[in-house]
Amino acid sequence: MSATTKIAVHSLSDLKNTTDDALPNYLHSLKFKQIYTQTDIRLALGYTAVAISGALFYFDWKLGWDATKAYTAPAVAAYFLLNGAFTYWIWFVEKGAVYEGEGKTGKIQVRSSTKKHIPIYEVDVTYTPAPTTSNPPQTIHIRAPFTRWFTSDGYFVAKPFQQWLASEVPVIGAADPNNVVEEIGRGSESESSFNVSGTNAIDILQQLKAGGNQPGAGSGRRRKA
Amino acid sequence: MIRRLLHEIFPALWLISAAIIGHANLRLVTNCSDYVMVVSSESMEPALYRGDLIFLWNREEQVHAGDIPVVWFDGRELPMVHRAIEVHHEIDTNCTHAILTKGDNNLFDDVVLYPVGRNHVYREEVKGSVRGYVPFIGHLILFVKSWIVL
Repeated sequence: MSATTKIAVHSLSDLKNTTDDALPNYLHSLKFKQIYTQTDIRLALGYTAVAISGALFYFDWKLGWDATKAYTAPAVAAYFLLNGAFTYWIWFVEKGAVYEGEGKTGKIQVRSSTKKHIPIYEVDVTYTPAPTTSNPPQTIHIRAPFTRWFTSDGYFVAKPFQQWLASEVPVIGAADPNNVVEEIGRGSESESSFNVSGTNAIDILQQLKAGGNQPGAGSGRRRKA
Repeated sequence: MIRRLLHEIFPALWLISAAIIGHANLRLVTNCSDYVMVVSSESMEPALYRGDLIFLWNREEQVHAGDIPVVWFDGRELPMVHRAIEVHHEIDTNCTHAILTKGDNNLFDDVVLYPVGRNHVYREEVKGSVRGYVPFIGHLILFVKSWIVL
């Protein structure tokens, strides 16, 4: 599966947006069910503010300034409050969230970012392996250069992207073992912070062994064919 | 599908809503229904020329002699922007003060322009006073208006 749309390879936002769009498609193909709570709240906040401004415009147009003057101040105040809440939600709650969902192998939340002028895709993944009720959430930070899954002329190639995700994120790897590559390399790095308790230490060790996910590992090692 | 559509059209709708709220906010701050107007005649030269963009403010209760109020009588299509030359306070119980106006470039005061039987403007008919202007820019709006009329 490869993209047929060409993007500008020098546009960091195009690279990031195309990759962000590919991620939910991949996880959907692995039967992950997306959770839309955060998206729905963001849309509700945004569209409520838009509806208030639309209503203000409509009634002002129909009834005139003198009739709507008393309602204008509350409407403007409500709009600014909703916009403030909307901005807070995007910046501090969603924080660049690209995907949140649940599948047979566990729950996953993915946040992506890039640093200015640096073409590296940075991802914070919070996952809870199945069964989600008895396992605590884990957070890892993985990153890889966009050159792993974009051709030099700007086409997105899905396979290396899927392999990278499956190899780095245990929950995805468990759902898509065919795409797990034991020695993922070529510039990718991962940092993991693990929530170790007395009951799950053995599970975490097994995950590390299965995913080849060690802190600082991966760079400079050739991938097996 | 619907979420994706809502997500994609939201930025455009947000921009439009921001413009609407910005406009409403300026109306509230200036207390004017129309806080920007274009001078369309030469009656206030040399203070204001045809094509000047004027900015209004309506938060002062008192109009003073020398101010340039924008007067809009009920039922009239366009307002009048002339200088207040006399202001009389507490005329009767119907208004706080009465204003006589005259264009700087006119020979006579504006009584002939007032509704029949009136020789003053009431404060309630003043939609705002000129607080600043930008020259020439309004010519574009006048041109567009004349083109629409044609």
